[in-house]
Amino acid sequence: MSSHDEAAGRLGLGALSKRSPGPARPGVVLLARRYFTSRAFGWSIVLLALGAWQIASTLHRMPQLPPLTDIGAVWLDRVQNGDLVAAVLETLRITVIGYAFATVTGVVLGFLMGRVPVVWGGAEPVVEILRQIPITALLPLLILYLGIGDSFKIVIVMLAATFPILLNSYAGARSISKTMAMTAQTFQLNWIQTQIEIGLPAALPYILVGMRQALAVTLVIAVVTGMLAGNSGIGYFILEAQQVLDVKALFAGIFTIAAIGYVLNALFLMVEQRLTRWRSLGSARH
Amino acid sequence: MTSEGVSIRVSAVSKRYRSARGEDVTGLSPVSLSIADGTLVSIVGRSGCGKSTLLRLVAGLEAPSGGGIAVHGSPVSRPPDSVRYLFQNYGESLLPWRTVGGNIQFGLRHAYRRSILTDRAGIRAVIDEKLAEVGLAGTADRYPSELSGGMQQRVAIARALASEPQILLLDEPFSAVDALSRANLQDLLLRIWQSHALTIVFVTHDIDEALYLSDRVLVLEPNGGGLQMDVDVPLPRPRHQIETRRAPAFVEMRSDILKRVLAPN
Repeated sequence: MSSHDEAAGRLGLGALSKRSPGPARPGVVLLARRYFTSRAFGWSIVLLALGAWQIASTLHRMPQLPPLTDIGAVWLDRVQNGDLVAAVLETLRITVIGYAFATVTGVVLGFLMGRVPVVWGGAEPVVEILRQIPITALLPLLILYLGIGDSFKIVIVMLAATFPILLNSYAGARSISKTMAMTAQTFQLNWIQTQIEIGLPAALPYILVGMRQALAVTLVIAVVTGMLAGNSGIGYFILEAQQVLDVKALFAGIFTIAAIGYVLNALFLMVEQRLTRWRSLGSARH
Repeated sequence: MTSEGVSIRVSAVSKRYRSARGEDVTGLSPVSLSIADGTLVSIVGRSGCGKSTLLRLVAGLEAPSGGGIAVHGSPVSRPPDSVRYLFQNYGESLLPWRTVGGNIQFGLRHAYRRSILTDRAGIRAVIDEKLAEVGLAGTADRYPSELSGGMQQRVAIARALASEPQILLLDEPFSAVDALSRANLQDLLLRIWQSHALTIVFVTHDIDEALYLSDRVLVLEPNGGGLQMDVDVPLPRPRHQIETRRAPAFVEMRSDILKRVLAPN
């Protein structure tokens, strides 16, 4: 699999990744082709944009766009004095706890909705209504109920992350073919055995897609809750920087969030590919 | 009636469905037959004659609308534990997230007689033995999706064997594989039928295949009309892909059955 195909797969652009094998080309053209269809091309654009930023802001000083080197210096300073690290850790703590609760709730409820008609009948209307409510509409109410402490932040993160996981787990639980279900019957599997040996493994790829969608949402919401509660986390770090017009610290905070999001997603993809390796084998070999 | 020497007894079994438009459709008109222990019996007939329905009823995967089925003397109300079923779409029956060896281990774990195999070496030895038996030695660590269709059906056979059944039901198991693999799979089925002393019921739309494999061929009437012919196949064993198929008795039985199947109703 070339890195292009991999990236296209990641963005859901599988259909665009088909390349027709052309006649042999001279080496330079081939290299250029490989470069322009790989992620290296995109990274070059990022580096070029950052370079342009650096040059423009050095030549023409403006307070709203400080040079990257200055932002870097502030970033290093805030990392060394510990407050940026503490803010990041606090946001990650909320993210992880909320995400863990959402995963358990979403997988258990979504999977059971897909496998047990009574659970589907009882839960489907509630789920369908609740998931229409924008999470932001619930914020004032939840602050009223829970204050602005940990429980508020965790509940908000959990609510936001639960639905993508739940809906995908449900779809995964419904994906078992009739033949597979009859196979379980002829091998005398009882209900529990059927779920463990067939239901969950079949649903796993779907569950992981839901968990990856939820991961992105989770980080955003964790940052927002920090801002809204105005007391902790990277969200508050950014808000505070804005209030004292410290644009460099603002950018330092924003870049840090981008980096964390990127790393989390990359780690997740690694785990996902390992767990669902069997899915890609057939297409790779034939 | 005793169940001595009888594997499967089907007594006036019928099946009716409700179609999508709400009409009452006959899946199978009442059929009675019994299948002796250790025989290989094929069921043939046109599409929609109810041959797969009959097989699923015997397997306990569907409930009959009338009549009853007994396997080894006990009435079938759920899949009997001495019976394993092989599907036409083997690709959806194997567990794609398990390796070939893992699939066979699944069969072992859900065996008819729970042979308690706890040590890894013992399990591995049985897996290798079953794979060698179906001609797939050395593929234990591959995934089903890496194998061809014919090889996947062999894995399904090995998995069924690992669970030590007494009766094997096969629903058009070779119809999706190419002609050459198909001949090999037929001979493989005959070998395991003999070495495991199995009772086999084999559903196919291919009359040649049915005659080649079987002791007895049952022909069903079109549109769920019930049993049309019950033909004993006295061809000598071992069967041979070329010799058997050109034996005068084979050719004659083949045309007899074809005439009946192709006759306008």
